[in-house]
Amino acid sequence: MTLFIDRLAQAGRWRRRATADKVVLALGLLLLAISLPPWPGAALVLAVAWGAALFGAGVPPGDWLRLNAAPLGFALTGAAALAVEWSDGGVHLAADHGVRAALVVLRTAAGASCLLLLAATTPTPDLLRGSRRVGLPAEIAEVALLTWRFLFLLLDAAAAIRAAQEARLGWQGWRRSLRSLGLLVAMLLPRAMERARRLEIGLAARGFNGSLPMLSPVRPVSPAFLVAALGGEAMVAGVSLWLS
Amino acid sequence: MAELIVEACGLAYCYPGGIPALAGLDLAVARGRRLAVLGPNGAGKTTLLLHLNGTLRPAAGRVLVAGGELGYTRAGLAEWRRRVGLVLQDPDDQLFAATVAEDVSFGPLNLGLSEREAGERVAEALEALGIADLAGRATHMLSFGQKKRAAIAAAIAMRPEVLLLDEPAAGLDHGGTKRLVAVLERLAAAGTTLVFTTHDVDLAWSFADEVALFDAGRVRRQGAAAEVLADREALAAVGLEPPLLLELGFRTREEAVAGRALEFDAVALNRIPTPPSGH
Ligand SMILES: Nc1ncnc2c1ncn2[C@@H]1O[C@H](COP(=O)(O)OP(=O)(O)O)[C@@H](O)[C@H]1O
Ligand SMILES: [Mg+2]
Repeated sequence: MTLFIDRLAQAGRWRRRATADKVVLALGLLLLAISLPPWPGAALVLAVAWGAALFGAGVPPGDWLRLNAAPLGFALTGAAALAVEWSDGGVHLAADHGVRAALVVLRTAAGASCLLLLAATTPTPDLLRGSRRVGLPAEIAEVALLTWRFLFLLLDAAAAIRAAQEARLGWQGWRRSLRSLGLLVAMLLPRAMERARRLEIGLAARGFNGSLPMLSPVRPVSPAFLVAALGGEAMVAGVSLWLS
Repeated sequence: MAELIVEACGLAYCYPGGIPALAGLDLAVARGRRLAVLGPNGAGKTTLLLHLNGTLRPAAGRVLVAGGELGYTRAGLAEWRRRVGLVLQDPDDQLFAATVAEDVSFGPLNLGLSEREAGERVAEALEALGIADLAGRATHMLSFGQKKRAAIAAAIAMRPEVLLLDEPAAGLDHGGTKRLVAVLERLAAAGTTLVFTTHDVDLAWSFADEVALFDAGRVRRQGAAAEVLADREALAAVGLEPPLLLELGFRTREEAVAGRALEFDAVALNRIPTPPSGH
């Protein structure tokens, strides 16, 4: 999943947009989804978030649906419990005809899509750099960045070991699979340590002395984008307060 | 004799567990040379490079940079790394940042350059490696060859006097190797001293002007590439064979001496790499 989101974010149309732009849009919408009455507030937020993802950021519809499927699935199963009632030894539709359940689903879906909008358009390192600018200590941001980079190296190593095991029939039947998985995990630790040791040599060769200074790309915020985002949010808030 | 930029005298080193890696090694690198450290796997080539930039400290012997010892103090090592750059064999060991440009900027910023100067160094290094278009690309989304070039860019952005490269052509295809050699040619022309390890006699023959034959933790023979690589006995002693093109020359001569005509063998000819320009 991490990889899938990363691929979307790295390849997306909004990749080069300032992180602040995307945060204002996504977190602003999230705030509305939480604070406005779910009908029609959350419905409007949902529509705007989906519109922004599909038409603004150009996330492929199939990928966007796939991202939203998991939180939606959770919301639906949870809401099913709200939609029914036990009485007279049978299951009935709740007295409110499932309205409460529908509202819960709506609000969850809206909130989740706001966060997914941010995640699917903004690579993790950008978020970390952004957090650093608003006060996250440099050390924490650096460790998180290295961890993020390391994750991909570990996944590569795991994939290589797995392929090697499969080539020798290590993943046939659950018994062998379990054993191979155990070996894989056991191999991964020393490999990671070895990798870390060599990474340190590589850093030292370039004058590492405890911190990781980097020239990060500066992406100017777009006033037009911000005006549109804030304007859209104001409209969602206005319309839903007026209707409800 | 040109000025010696790097010199190793009597280096000895054992890895923890008592595995001997260097055993009384002597090596001298003149400024402006392109030296190939040639030897079979496990000979200790990587270990040698790690000594030449001060990463590993020898149990015995000394490493001199431009005639002096820089010392293993913080300041000494900082100076050492500024003057002697290192490119590791596996680029993933070197690329730690999220994007190529950020990674390349790390070394220049550590040199204490301003952001503007560092930015210029980054642009220049990426340009030199022909990867300016990859500046903003995530490092985990590069091909192996691109990673390799990014790692070299990261090293040359510090403008070292000497660049150490560990198996620079390992894992590259024919085109990748050609591009790499072109980049190294340009670096050499700009005055950078190059020391690279390899087990590939053909690469050494096509690019190096000097070769150090390396085996079992020691330099067995160091000299002009054309001489050392034509010395079949010396090569055989370390388990290597002469470059294919030279080998063909030897065979032709032997056949001629024996009074036989050389049979034309397309299969053998096919295996002969085209000599790159410059020779
Ligand atoms: N981190 C290490 N720990 C223990 N032994 C090592 C380590 N790295 C290399 N060696 C050993 O040191 C010797 C020289 O290795 P190396 O310098 O990597 O050779 P080369 O680069 O020529 O293939 C080999 O016998 C190898 O097994
Ligand atoms: Mg090696």
